[in-house]
Amino acid sequence: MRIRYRKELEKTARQMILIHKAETLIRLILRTIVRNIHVKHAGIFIYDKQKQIYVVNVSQGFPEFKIPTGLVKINPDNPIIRYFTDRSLNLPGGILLLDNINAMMRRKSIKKKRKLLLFLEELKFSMSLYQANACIPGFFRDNLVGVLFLGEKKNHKKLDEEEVSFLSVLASDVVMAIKNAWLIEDLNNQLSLNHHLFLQMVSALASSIEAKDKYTIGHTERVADISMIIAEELRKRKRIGNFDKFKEELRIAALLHDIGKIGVPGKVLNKKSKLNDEERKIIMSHPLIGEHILNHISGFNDIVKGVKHHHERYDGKGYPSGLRGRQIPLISSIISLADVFDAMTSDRPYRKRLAFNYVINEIQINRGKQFSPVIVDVFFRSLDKISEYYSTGRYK
Amino acid sequence: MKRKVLIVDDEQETIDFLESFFNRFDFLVNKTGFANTALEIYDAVVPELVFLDITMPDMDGITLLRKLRKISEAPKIFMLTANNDKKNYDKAKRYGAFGYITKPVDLAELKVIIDENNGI
Repeated sequence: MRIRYRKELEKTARQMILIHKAETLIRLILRTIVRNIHVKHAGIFIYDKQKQIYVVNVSQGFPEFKIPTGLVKINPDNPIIRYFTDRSLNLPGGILLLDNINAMMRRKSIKKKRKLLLFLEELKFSMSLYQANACIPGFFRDNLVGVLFLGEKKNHKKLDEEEVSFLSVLASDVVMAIKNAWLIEDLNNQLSLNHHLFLQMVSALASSIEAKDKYTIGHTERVADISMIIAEELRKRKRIGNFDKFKEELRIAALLHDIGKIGVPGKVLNKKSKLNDEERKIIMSHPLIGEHILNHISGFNDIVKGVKHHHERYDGKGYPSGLRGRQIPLISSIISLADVFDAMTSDRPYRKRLAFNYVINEIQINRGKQFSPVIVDVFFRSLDKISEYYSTGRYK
Repeated sequence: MKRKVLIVDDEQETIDFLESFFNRFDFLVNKTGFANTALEIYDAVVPELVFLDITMPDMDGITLLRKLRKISEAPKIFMLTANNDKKNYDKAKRYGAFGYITKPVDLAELKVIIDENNGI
């Protein structure tokens, strides 16, 4: 291959390494083709695995030839595709050139091969619809992953041998780009599925507590939902780095905040009368039991801290560690408010639910004492969303 | 006499491409991204063919279809849309669409429509 094309390939290869998105890569390759071979337009059909069709994904060149992405398709039984995939036709492999097809059709021997002649006519017709003078296949193993198609050269001349090999090299780069894009897509799908499964397991684990403590059915979901409302409102006032991660950890911590109750005997949890000192000590150990259980999970550090300290008080009189003020992790301060709000607005073994307005007032009174002032303020700013949540029948 | 086609779609690249496609087969092309302009052109020109997208910014495609039909029943109106919901298909047929083509479209399908409507 002449030096000019080799240099061009090297330049393209260097640029390609920097690009990760398949579409950008393919666009680069098509631009390279149009610029070097001076064709009127170039485009590519890419195989869509789900719909099992070939869709024109990228196209470059003169405006009247540019096909917008996703507008146009060809089916696998289209002659252009069959030229490359249908072995029964006994066609020469390699690049499909309109000139070669015309030459084939001019041979005397073609008259005896009716089926082939018919096919070639259909092929010519298809190529004319796309104004394609040349089609280059992109195979990965045995699968036709894409087809590059080129319009005629601006100078109306034929493609020479050099240009043809230049194109073949680029076609394999295109295949590589498409394959990588598919791999990444598959990986991301798998990751999403795994993540979804993980969240469902967290929910299942959280509901295991409710099997034991019948007064808290739905409690953990509600605490999680209210924590989410508070977090969204908080975001408007305070910068939180990587908010999505924070929200997810908050949600998981909220769902699991009472997991330690699994270590508390049922008769203590469900006792209708006042607890004695011994029983109170046992219940107060549930945040530590929660920490103990969750510590086994790697990457859960902030979640574990959030669970461990959800009974701390802003004034330092909470448990288990007596943390005060800003020492209390943000996740814990949100959960503690949501937890108390839901507890007061739900029936308990020792008392019926309290009136909404009474609960709001209690929270206000405890601003700066039990609860962080910042979180209480945010709670009040999101009061309309919280009362809407409260009245949507979740509280039955 | 040249046949006329009206193309209505909110994506500029799409109407530009379809215009160049129909130009190749000797059609007189009118194109617009706006429903109200489409109504004006339809009334003034009365094209033989109309291609209509369903998702338009200023008016829903089915509503536009009904309004076009009120002006004239003569043109053949094809819905050309990415939406392949059966409900929309039924609605379109009910309100007078001659055909329903889903994107991505096979150009051969468009060519068939052209051939059937280009004869003299």
